[in-house]
Amino acid sequence: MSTSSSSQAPGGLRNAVKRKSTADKKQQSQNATPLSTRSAGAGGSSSTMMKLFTDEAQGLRVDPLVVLFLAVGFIFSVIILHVFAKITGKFT
Amino acid sequence: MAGFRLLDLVKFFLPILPEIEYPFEKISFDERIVYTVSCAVIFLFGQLPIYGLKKNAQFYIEDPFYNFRSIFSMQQGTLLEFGLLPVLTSGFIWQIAVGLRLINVNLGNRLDRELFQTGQKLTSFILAIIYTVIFIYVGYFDNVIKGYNPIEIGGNIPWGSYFLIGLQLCSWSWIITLLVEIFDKGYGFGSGSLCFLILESATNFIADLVGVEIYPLVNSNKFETYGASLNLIKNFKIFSPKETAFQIYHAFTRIQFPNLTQFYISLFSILVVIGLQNFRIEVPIRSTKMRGMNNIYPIKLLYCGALPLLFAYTIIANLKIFNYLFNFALSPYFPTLTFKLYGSRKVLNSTIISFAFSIIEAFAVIILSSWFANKWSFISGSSPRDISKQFKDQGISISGKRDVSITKEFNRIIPVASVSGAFIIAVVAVIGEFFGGLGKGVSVIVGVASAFGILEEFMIEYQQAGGSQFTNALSGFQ
Repeated sequence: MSTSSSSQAPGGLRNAVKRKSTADKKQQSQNATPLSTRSAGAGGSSSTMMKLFTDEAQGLRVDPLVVLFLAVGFIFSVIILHVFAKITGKFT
Repeated sequence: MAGFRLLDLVKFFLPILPEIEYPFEKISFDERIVYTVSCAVIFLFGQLPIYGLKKNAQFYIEDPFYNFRSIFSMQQGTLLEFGLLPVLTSGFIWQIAVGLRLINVNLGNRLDRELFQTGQKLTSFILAIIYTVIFIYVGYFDNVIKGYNPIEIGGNIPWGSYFLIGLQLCSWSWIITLLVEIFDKGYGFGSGSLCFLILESATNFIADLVGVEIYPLVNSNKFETYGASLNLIKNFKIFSPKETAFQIYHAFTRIQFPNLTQFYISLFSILVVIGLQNFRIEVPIRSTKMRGMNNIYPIKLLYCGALPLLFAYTIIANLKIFNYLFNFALSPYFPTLTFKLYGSRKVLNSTIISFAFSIIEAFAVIILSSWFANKWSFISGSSPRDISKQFKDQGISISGKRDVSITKEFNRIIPVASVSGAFIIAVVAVIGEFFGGLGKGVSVIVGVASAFGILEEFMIEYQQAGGSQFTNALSGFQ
């Protein structure tokens, strides 16, 4: 390819066309919407990592510790249910 | 004119969905360890049996989904009945839909990105509800609900128990989604879903071998130890070779509990994956700003890690669950139209009986994961174009190439690497399944391949943080 282009005379119509097509291509690639949140520059899934939640949306804001305590609370409530079932099962 | 977008539907739910706050300042290395470990411990608590079921319910439920259970850490009869399936399904659906431009989302726009994320969360929540409804509607738990006999005619339908079971399953699934979010927001290492998968497959791998719990055998009055090798050692009678030979045979073929066949398949898969991790192409790079700064940029064979395999099984798992529903719903009306994509564990070598289906499934896994690997290498954030952009920002170029041709060079390498890596890993998984791995082999493949990615991130963080207080404290003891 390089040999064929060097044999041509520089300048002229062909160069202008080429220049326009590269400029078009560049603009197109700049205007293209990103395909993932990571290529939009906001973190997110990479090739080996599956990430779902990497932006902060407007929602019911909670601290991570709240969620952890909530989870522990839920676990304890299930355990207590099990224990109650066992105790009442003994007497009846 | 602004056309209707799927994303706009999400807006209605925006104010009521919980959203984890981003850390105000950068989380320190030690804090991340604490968050990771505590989330992991809470996740493992999900192995608590569901309230409202009989004792040892997991052995009495007729299990149609035994062969992908361990891949998604779906523990039977426990709070983790759905495991990570809702989260992974919704993540894959949304990210592929955006990557292939099936839905109209502009991720360059901040508001769209937020809606996209909330969409994933909402889908995960809704999927949890859908699965719960399917399982209860089809009567998955009917055999084991306390104080209810499904065969008895005129028995009361246990609405109360259904409600309690559904509530527990749904809320635990939602909590899991939020725990995954804690990881993804940067409080933990790597991605939440993969971290939990690793944790689950590692603990299960050990428990299958040396689990000490003793459970009763179904339909008999005998007891057996959960761990395969422990049970073998316990029953080893050195003075009666015939009995011992039977026990060894039994250790490899028992059905109700993990057996040694699965263990060896898992071990073999682990070794293959670790071996495959070393295959890579090293692209020589140089700095464009400084003379003589040469280095290499490795592109691994397993460019997409275990995600292609995980994707393939996510699709298959969902197909099977919906097939389970339609079979039940349609069989009274169109008995000829129904066909079962799922089997029962009752027969040991169900692979041989449903030979055709397992061949189709094997091909489906291989084709789906190759297709996914090809697409994912372009739509994940590490596509050739993203890497070349990153190179340009950091003033790096491939030795002997011009700046413009970096994308072209990576376009030549990356798709080939990722597709062949995914293909090989899928073949290994399928072979393991064929010899009766029952999903255990696939689960360790996914676990080990993802663990390498997370370990990488961990080590980078560790070096950037300049060590951690934990190691400093521990080194004081030496």
